[in-house]
Amino acid sequence: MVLRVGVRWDDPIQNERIQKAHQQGLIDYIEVNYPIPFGSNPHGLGIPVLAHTSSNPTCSAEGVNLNIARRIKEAADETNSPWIGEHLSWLGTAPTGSLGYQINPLFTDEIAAVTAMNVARLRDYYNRPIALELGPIYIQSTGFKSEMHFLGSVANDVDTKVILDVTHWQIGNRNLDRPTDYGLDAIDPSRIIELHIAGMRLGSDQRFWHDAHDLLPDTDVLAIASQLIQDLPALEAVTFEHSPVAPEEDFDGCLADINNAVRDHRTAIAV
Amino acid sequence: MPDKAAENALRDRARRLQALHIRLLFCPGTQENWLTDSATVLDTFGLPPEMQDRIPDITTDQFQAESHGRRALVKGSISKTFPETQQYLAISPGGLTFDNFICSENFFNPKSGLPHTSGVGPGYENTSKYFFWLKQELALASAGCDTDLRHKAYIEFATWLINEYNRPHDPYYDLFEGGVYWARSPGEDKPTILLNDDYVLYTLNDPNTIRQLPQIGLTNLDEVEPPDWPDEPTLL
Repeated sequence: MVLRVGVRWDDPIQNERIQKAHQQGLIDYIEVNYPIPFGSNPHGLGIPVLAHTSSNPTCSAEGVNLNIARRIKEAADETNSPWIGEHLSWLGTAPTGSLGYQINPLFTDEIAAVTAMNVARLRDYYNRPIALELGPIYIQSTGFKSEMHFLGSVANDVDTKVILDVTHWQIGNRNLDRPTDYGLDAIDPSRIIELHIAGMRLGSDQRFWHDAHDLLPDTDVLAIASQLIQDLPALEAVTFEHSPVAPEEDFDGCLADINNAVRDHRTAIAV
Repeated sequence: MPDKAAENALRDRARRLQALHIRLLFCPGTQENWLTDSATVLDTFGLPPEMQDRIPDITTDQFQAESHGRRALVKGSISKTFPETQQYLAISPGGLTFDNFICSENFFNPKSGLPHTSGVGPGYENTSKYFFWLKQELALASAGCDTDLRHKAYIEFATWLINEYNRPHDPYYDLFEGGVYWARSPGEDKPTILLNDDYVLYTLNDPNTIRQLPQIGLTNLDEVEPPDWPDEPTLL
């Protein structure tokens, strides 16, 4: 198994630190979150690209907006991304637009069936593998045993890859008072091709955990990710998600930790 | 894959569930109605009573945490753009509240807003939806409106538009090159307020100067409306 390490690209203000990390051999790729801001050109960095998006509501009964899907496809074709990362989410109630951050769907049979149809059409349209990812979870599933079972089922039905966002997974387990390893067995390990790692924070209520890309991954997340790197048979990529405005020393330090966890699974590509 | 008729039926049921769940997440009024009489709410959304078990228990801390987070994100973006407008509304008798907006059709309908600067189309931000909703609900473009409120809302929205113009943007925002202007009081030519694209605010009283504003390509904020955006194709 050869693993690659990468970072998420959201904004041109990250370019300098990302280029530096690439030159130091700390990263092999950038995971670009499409659609990207007007006038930005992450492809110009000369670093391999993994295509990702948070802008397709793959679980929506309204289907996926073709104009957005087209932009993502064009970018993935241009960069020859090996797969495209997609979120299992709603964005609103209309065929287009977004009411804010991605909305977790109801994890029910009918939504799973709709999601499977949407993802199959998207994959055919892209003509490229899709890797599915869950968001951070707060609410107990009302259909499937859990959101992890929903993800595992849809991935099996449509034969997709899976991005296991370790932070989102642990947020869900903490928010729903579940054991740390809850739900992993619901996903075929041979489908998990990528890990996402980011920070999380405890809310002011001291009860619920939230995604926090401005923070570093906590020690539990790093430890779990390290073990998954050893255990998952088909893992190809580990992506660190870090806010463009968070301290650069945090960025560098966490990449060093991830590289340490990956160790000999990765062939560092220094340029 | 189901045949087309079966798929349409499935999507229709899923669409109704999606609409109800999202309304419950964002709108306190829908939550209250649900707690009082869930059967009627299900009926309103075209769902049979047996669909009730698809909807989570909205009284749990978990549901309320997610609902709070969803609403807080929208509220944060609006408060950031309209701090003085919101402050003014908060002390106005019978003033419109954030909940009025977040339960309105304007919030849920992407066509109630402007195209996003990134080029993905309308409905990907809530700031312009909020402005157009406020303008409509309080008749801010009509004679006799609360001109103090109009002034605050227009200045804050104009500043947001210029911010959007001043960063890499969808060509739609070229409309705001040079700046935007509006009559201090609807129906009266002067004074006219101009915010230029360097954020300098002018109060203009000279009729000749005011007449020249559209001629030099500046946009009257009272004429800015959500564009008649075509329905976009979906992968169905």
